[in-house]
Amino acid sequence: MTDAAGRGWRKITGRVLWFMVSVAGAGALGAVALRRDEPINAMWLIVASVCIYLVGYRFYSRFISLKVLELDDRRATPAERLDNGRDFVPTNRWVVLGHHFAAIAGPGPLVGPTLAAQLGYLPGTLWIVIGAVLGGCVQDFVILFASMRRDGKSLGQIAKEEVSPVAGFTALVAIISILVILLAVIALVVTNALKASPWGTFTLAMTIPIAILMGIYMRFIRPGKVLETSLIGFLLVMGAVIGGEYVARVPLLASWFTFDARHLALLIIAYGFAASVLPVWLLLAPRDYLSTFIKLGTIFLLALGILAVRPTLAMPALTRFIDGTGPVFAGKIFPFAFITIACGAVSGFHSLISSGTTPKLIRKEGQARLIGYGSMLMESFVAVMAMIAACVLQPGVYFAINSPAGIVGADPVAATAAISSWGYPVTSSQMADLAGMVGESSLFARTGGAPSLAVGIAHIFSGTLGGKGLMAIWYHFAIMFEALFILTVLDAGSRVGRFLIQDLLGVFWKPLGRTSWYPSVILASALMVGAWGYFLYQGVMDPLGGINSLWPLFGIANQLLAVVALSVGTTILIKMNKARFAWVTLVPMVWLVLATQTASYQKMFHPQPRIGFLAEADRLSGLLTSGQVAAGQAAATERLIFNNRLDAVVTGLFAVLVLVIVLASMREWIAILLKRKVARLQESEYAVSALGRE
Amino acid sequence: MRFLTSLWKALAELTGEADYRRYCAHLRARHPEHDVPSEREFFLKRLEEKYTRPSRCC
Repeated sequence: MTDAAGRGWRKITGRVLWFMVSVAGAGALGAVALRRDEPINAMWLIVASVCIYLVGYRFYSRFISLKVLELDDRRATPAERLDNGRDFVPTNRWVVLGHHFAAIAGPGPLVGPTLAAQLGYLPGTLWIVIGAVLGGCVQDFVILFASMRRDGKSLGQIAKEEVSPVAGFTALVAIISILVILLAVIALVVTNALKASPWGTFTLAMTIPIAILMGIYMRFIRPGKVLETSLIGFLLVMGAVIGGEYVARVPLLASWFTFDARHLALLIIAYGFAASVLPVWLLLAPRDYLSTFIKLGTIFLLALGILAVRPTLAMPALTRFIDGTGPVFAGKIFPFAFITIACGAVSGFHSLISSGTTPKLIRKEGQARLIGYGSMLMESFVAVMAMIAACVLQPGVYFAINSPAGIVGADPVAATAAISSWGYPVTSSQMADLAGMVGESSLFARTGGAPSLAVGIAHIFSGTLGGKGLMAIWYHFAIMFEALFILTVLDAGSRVGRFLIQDLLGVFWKPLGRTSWYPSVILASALMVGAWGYFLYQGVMDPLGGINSLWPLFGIANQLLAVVALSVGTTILIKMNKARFAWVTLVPMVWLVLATQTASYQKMFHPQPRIGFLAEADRLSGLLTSGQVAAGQAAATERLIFNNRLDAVVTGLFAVLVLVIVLASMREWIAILLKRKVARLQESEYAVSALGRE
Repeated sequence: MRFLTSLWKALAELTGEADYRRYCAHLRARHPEHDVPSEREFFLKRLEEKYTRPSRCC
């Protein structure tokens, strides 16, 4: 066969193959969306999402890289031009992909889908897959590109230089606010998973001395030997997971590790403060290594487990709670499904990672497609797996774990009766059996998603390895895995927040900006930890479980940052003379503006107390003035009223910030499009690449 | 065995364990006049830099 004929054949087989992938994806998606009468197998979700990812990557990301951004492999990347052997290093693309994925994949894509499962598997799954392909991946890719063309500048700097100083300042405020709400809500997830659970608390508590041991080993005995240290740490943590069973069985030991939610919250706040002021080598860094290993390993195992077990989804495609009355969070599909699932579909926070370390490592411009677009597809797939893990549970069990006591009551019999009356049968003895099987005293009202996800993971893992006998070990492994990397985000986030606050304070008084001056370190750390600690404590004291108020706030904050990123992206496209392709970033941005504005409005002014913060404050003050509050509860009710009003103010602040950034960017777009202003792109200069292909 | 050694190498790249060796090679090649820091010094400095920026996401 001649060369030309061979190429022709490859082209044809390629086309046939992609046609088959598209048909398989469309068919599976149709089955997922339309089969309502019988439970479907999880494999339909896997096939549908993977085929859509493949088509999205092959065609849409290629279109973006060739036509919209015009990635140019002959142009030297900052890694090549500024190579200093440390942070600017041309690196193998798979290594960069690994770094980037490990940095973006956090607890968000696991928790959000688990909460959104209350609407059924369909709305969440569709949003995860479509939102990622058209929104989240595009955002990550475009910002990675923008930062790569600007020597790895941060999102805030790019917003300031390309849009306006107002946009830059908005970005900074958005980043600090999202950090505060994010850290509060994930700390609440850990608190709810560990309250009254000596096994889980012991395991997580042990990771602190284990991390310190690893830190000392890496600092003094074998400097920089990350791999062997992590391996030792992993073995010790597994020992702690298994040892936890013994601790839970011995009453004296168990009593040392049994805390209620309030005390746990205070301990976590103290821990966050310590991690923010201690040297990083002692606690933060070793913990981060440990949790990154365990995180990536568990995600990989979960994928294998789902493929091996191929579980049936017990949750229906749509539940009755699409009417907005759900116990996990209140509100209808639009806007709340799109707020509840941020990470996994579109996560604004990723734009900070895409404009951080990653752009300084990319060897060839074209690789930004794999690293930016591709790694977000992987995170989206993690979110689909979390959705599956939540939906393999019987709906009654799912609702018993995730409904706060303030809604279904604290008594097991009353709670199961209430849930069964919704049409999702469950009995208190079934819940007691399940709790016994996973080694907990009770699984009721464990809101926040982590415990029901852990039951789902244990269900899948015990289906392949070890059977029901290992259910308790798998459950506590899953809880440890989630809690471990939530605490890592808490450490790292508190520390970054501290630096941001020091930056901000330094504007007012120079010495406060010095990052190594101890009074400033203490002050900024206390401000940061105090801020998220306040919201955490508020969530713990909330009779509705806290997740109902804090998780939507977090979703709105995260999407707010995505709006900042996408409007910066749109501005850059227009300045690059690519206004005809501006819809690439504009369409997801408009969608997110609609979702965040509607959600903010409803969270503030909705007449239903479970949705609207002000309505809840009014309801409570009505109870107070009409004398329906018990004598001892007056002060607590006052605090609840204050907190609801505070949440309304914070929501309002987010809504205003979204409008500010959108208006600031639109002013710039119009000025450029009407030629009132010359578009001046702040890219670094063109240099020809000397690096060959890998 | 060959698979295991290449896996270990890839992990060393991913975790940053290989960073020090690469930095030394970089210094020797481009700036032979500079002193090479000790692995401990290098490692501590890298960690301090790493955790001043958002490095872990939600």
